[in-house]
Amino acid sequence: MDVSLLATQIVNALTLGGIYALIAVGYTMVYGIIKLINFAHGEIYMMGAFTGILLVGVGVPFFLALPASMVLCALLGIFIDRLAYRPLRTAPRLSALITAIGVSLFLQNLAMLMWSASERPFPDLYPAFMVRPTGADAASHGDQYLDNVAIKLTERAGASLGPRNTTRDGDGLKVEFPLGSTSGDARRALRETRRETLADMPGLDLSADEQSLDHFLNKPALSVDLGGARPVEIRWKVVFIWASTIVLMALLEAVVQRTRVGKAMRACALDKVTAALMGIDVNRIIALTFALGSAMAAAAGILFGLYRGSGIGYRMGFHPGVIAFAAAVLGGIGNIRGAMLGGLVLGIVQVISSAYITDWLGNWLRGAPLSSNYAFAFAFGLLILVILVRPTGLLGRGTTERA
Amino acid sequence: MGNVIVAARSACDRWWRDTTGKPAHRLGGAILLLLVVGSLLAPLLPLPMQYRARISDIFLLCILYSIVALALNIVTGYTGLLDLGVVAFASIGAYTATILYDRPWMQFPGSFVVVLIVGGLHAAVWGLIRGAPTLRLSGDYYAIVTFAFAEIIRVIIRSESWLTGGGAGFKNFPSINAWGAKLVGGEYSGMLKSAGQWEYPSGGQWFGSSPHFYYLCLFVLVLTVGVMRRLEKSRMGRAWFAIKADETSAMTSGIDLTTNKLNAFGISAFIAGVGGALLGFKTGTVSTNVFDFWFSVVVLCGLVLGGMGSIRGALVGTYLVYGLGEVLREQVTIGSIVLEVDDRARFLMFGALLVVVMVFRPQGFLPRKRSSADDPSRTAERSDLYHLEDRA
Repeated sequence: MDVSLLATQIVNALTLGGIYALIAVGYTMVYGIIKLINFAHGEIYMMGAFTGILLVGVGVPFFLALPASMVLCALLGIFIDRLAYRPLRTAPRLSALITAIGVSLFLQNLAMLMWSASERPFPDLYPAFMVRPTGADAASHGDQYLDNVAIKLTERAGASLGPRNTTRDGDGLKVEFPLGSTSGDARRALRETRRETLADMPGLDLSADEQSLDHFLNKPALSVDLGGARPVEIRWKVVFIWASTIVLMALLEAVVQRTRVGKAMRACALDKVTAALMGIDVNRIIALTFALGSAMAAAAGILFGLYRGSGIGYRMGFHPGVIAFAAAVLGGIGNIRGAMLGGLVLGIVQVISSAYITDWLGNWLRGAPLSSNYAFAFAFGLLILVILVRPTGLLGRGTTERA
Repeated sequence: MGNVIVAARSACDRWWRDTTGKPAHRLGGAILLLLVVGSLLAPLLPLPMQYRARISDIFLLCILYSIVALALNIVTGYTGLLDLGVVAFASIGAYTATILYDRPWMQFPGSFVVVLIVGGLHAAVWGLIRGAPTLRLSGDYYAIVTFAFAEIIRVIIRSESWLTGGGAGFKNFPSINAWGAKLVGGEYSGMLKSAGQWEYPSGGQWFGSSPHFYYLCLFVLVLTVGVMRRLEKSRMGRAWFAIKADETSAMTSGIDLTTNKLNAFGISAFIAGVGGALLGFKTGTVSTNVFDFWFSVVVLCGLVLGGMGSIRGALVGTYLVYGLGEVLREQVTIGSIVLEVDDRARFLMFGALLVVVMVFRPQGFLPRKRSSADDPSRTAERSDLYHLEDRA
């Protein structure tokens, strides 16, 4: 077995697992406090990804788009709770579950009507290049040449492949391309400009360093050669996803464990009636729970979009939502740390089963690998198994309500 | 906002309490009567061929989904276990019947009926397989297991393309005959294709079906309703209601939970399998794109709308949901204005309908008359703060 391939798969698994964990904490918090399987949670994740790419698309910097879409989705979560779940607090629990399914169906099809049924790519984050003159005459004619390039590029600006902005920066020319253009488009524009301007200048050439955020995120932060066909790479993107996941989880833990509202949330999860008697506004705490969970799911949606680079569609929330629910159950529903652990475990189960187990099992059963679709079946199978064998989950307390 | 909802809902409840048993149920009865008469007469209406064909098509679809809804009603309405995976049994029935019907050794006069029953039995076997380990479960966890089970079945069907045709499934199968009468396809599909506008917007032909097939399906529905009515009054039916009301009390009263629950699962899966098989034959398309999770949800939507646990409710709700869904597919032209609803907007409507019905009238439009116990407007006093029954 190829060790470096396995290591790469584990890196993938941890990334995916972190995203699942971010979704799972929302399930587990809501379940912990109002005993509702918030079926629409996967749709919040989808909405988070969509608001993320829309915000990036209108020019909000990526590092602001992430918190902004978290806030928007938190508001959406509060809105859904207020409209669909709060009127049913006293109703039988199955009514609330059916309502949640209705909300999920509604949001999915709303997204489809608003943003079409086809999947969208995650936008390339702000293609930008630093252009510098090279060649024998660079020192003498370089400045003049760069001015030429700037004029040529500005002429293109009205066309579809033109840059948004060109600025002189020291010995180079910084070329920024508009939102929505891909790095590929930008490279083509530069290539064509180079051809046009270099025709009568034998002593000059042009070098272009990509400076876009995307380019940076796709560079490996760490590359380890384990002797396989390719070295194991951890890209900056993955580092960023891990870091955000860890920071968000730590923040959530801090809010729940260290603050007054967190204490109130824990009190409500234990006993709402007593909590209300102690002066806690239970409805506000529940709304806050929805807000926190939804913000986490929105972050997961954007991080997933950044990670995959594609696949933002109205159906994207369904399977991750269900798998994250499985993660929450696996970790012990109602238990935030359990949800984090469960998310990681399910990420690993999914990646490893689609990379290895389907092949092994298929070869053993009938001499041909099984379809990698079976990875989902394994995750669902694990969910059923946990519910049947240990409904309190890995980290669940014995007092959690039994199925 | 929340206050408005609460006020509107209590007004709705008050109106209902004042009128229950009188005009509301009479209205429900009238709608039911209309549906029964419509279902009986649709293929015989003295209308131009194309209109008659389309109208009977809509009725036929409602009839077939009603069979599945009644199946779901056993587990969810009678026994009180939310089943989100009825699609598993419908698809098992449909795939089994389709695959068998295609076999050369299945070419004898009554083979159509045989494959239907075998499809149902196969579904029932899986119903028991799913049911046996989940006997202890109830509430959300049961619902999630049914859902996960249905997804696993769907993954298996999608992946094993040597048997099932994979993701595309089966399409355009040959005409279906029984005892010399052409049931589906053949001249009837030709008729509808020539009429032109009644092709499925999203791929797959809208198969025409013969009056024979129509009345066969109606007969299956009537048979199902008859069986249901007997079951409701039987010892087993009463045991199911007792389990729904309180499982522990039912057990201490000497009700055998295992047998009664397994019976519910098996019967439900059998009926869903037969209904799914008929649906597959009718639409001419058996694929996992039709039989997906939302299939279960829309069937459940009809059941919830009509009132869980009640046969009349299940019928009226299913007819409303699917009838409305089909009618919304039509293009209406008034003068130069073309009215058309986006095909996909229907699901938006179903989602909103589920929420609205649950918020304003969780017991559905035509709930069981004697089940005042599970009518939340009559039991606990309402409070918007927290549920009292949910303390650990």
